[in-house]
Amino acid sequence: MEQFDVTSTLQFARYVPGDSPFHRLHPGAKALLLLFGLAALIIVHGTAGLVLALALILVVTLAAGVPLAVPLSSLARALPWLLVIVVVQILTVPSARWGADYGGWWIFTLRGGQLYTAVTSLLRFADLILFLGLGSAVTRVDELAYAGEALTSPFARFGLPSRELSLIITIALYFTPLFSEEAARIRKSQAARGADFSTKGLGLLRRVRAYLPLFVPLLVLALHHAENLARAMEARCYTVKMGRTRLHTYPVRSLDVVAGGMAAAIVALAILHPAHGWDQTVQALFGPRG
Amino acid sequence: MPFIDVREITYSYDGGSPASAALPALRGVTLAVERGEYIAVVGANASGKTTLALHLNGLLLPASGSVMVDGFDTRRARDLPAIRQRVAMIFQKPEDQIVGATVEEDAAFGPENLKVPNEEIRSRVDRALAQVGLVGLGLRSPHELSAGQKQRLAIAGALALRPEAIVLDEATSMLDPGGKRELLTLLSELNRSGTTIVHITHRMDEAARAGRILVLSAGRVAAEGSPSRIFASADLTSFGLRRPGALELSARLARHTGGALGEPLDYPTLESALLSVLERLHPYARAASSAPIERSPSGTAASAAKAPLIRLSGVSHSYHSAKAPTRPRKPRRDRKVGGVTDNRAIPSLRSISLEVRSGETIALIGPTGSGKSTLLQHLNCLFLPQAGRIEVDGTPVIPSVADLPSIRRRIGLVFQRPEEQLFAQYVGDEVAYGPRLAGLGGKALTERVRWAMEAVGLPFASYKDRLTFALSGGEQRKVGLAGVLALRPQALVLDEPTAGLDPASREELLALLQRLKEEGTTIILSTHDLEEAGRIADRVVALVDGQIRLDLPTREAFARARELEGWSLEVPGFVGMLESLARAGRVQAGVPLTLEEAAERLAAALIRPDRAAGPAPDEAASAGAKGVDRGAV
Repeated sequence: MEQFDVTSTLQFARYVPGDSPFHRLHPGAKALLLLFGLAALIIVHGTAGLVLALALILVVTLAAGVPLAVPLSSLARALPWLLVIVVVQILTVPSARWGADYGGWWIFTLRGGQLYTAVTSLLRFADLILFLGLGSAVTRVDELAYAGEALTSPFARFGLPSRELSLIITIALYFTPLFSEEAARIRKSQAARGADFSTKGLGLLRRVRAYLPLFVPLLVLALHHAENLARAMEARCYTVKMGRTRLHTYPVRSLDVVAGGMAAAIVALAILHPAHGWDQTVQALFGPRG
Repeated sequence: MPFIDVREITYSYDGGSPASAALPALRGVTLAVERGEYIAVVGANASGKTTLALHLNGLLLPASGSVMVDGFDTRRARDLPAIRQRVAMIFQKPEDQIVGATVEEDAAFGPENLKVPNEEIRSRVDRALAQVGLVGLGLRSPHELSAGQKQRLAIAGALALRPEAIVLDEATSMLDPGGKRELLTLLSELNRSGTTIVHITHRMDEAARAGRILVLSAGRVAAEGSPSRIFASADLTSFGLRRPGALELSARLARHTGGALGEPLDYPTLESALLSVLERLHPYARAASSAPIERSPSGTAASAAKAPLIRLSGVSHSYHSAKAPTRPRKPRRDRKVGGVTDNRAIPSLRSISLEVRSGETIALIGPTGSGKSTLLQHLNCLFLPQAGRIEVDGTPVIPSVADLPSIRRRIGLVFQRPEEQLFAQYVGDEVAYGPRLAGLGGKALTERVRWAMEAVGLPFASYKDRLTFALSGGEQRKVGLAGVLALRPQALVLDEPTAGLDPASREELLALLQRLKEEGTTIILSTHDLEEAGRIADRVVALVDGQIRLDLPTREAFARARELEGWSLEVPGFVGMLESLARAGRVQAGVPLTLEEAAERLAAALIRPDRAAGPAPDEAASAGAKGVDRGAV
């Protein structure tokens, strides 16, 4: 039954094996590009920058040898939610009430400015999803963990356990699908005993109690996992206060420096917003401001 | 000086309070493991096996006594890295040992901790993955591996430490027969190339592979010696263990053979011993060997007229089809890397048609990932078919109108490891959960809980107020089972109910199922163990890659041994042995279902043909013995 099948919804990040320059970037550089890119997509306003970003993302996706179907399919799945968010947004943002008047109904009015906002919001979300899809398509999970370590290592001298942090990320990433499987199994086995987890109309306390048969076993399992894992790590000579070496090392190359520079440039562009004039032309299509 | 030298160690959990006296503890264990040895440590649950294992590389420290590894003392903290590098450890649950995001990173974890330079880590990892047969899977996520592959990855992680010894704590108990066989073969190979193996198990056929066996019971060494000595002399039953099947069988035939069979530890040895005895006994006899397989006189024909209790027709299920039709296919090259096929198939069902008749017992068999659990969950409508239909008692189940909770109560489903679903503080409340939800209360509820608890062998008065989580693993499983039995289901569906149980607990559970069967409960259970199927099932259904490939009365299914082997399923050893003896014309052809049956059949053959018509059993036995003696002179 669908209500028990949790794993199928966990299909967001998908690595697409490849050997493009983007795949081969230093994990730290990838993470920086990803962070700065996300920041830029959030900062930039106006359709021009967003369309430009969309084009750039698609070009890079193709250049990295990632089939367009991969990011597009995650976009397609998110689309219904996006539409809901966009509708709510245009109805609740007062500053969007400008431009041509397309009539109204009850307490709602539809103005050109709202349509403009809808278009930019949709574009922005689409950009964000495609960009994250691109990022996860060229970054392996272990690289992600390494990036976390690389970016936090400057703080290691102040006592931040950056290596442990990356280990924690890795283990958490591994255990997430495992736990969702366990949760589904426990949920089903309680359902087999007649449990019903639809708690509509129950008070908070009773709702919590109805879920105890799910939470308690999951907690017990989690503790068992943790204990066993700790033991297995200890058996493999792991101790906390001790340096470690690495199977994969990632020397920083000139390409990585270039990528870092580009990341900074993108954010700068987003802030300076050189396409301002062009945006005003686009806005004019939706009617006069004011 | 032995490589691992364990002297008089004691250990108790919980600081030795009187309440914990019953917990698995060690009460003075001494053990010496030499370099290059292959030693098995056997014992029932709670005998202290795991506790001992954890002492061997300093994961636990003894309260008294000492553990020395290659001259290093586990009680000295600065010796621990050296000890753990020398003695590696493999645990029971494959998924609890993985720390890497990729297979190769996981294998590298140990050497990374030892601060090995990265070029050398690379060569160690590559070699270790090659040794365990995971070449080409280095960049996979460990999550994509099968249980057997995960265990082999754990061994690769151990080998990357370049250890001298590997300790395995019930490392095969979560694997299917195929995965088990591969792991055991790997252990023998490693041992041949010089690695010391300490294999902890409660499976005697696995222990028989070792050069020496140590029997633990209640935290003490109860016996120690070569496998043949241990199996022959020690009273294994009193330690909650069983002899290997071949030895058991030869013991049962002893009065016909006068001990001429020796002490065979496996079926091939027993077979050759039997052949020589039979040849001496009646050199010219060549019994007709082409007798047809007899039909088992099960109730199937009689009840066929009634509507089946559950009928699946054309049921299909796939895990992602309904939700994400646009999900792009995995790239082809991902499926098969370096000649190793991905055997963690997504369990899905393809056009399953199955009838479960009231009162029959069905064993559902199949390799891991074949869809057994998915099929079982269709039987009580936890899963509704994406295609095809389900009928219960002749009524089609239509999702929008069917009373699913009532169907689920009538067809009780016991999940794999039911002990993991427990949540209530007290045993009584745990068992009462289901019936209470069904609306039972007061006296009726108490009676129901009492009945269910007694049925699984937990006395109501003394267990109802015990703390659920303080029970032993075996008792917790019984509580889980009682929780479903308390619904008084018409049919009981069990997903690998005996997995991971020690022989004594397994016997108890099988006896319980036998009793329920005799009371008329319909039972459907999945298992890897065909010996179980032979003892309890009327019918065997083999599920492979989501399709029913075989659906026959148990006896006829056993006759298809070769087919079953192709699916990584093994018929009990005595079946194959009797078949080959029959082919040699030494016994009457026919498939035995249980060890008892096999013993009867062989006993009949061991009676001399000219007197087989009707001597008293004693006469036959002495005649047999004489015959052997004469042959031996």
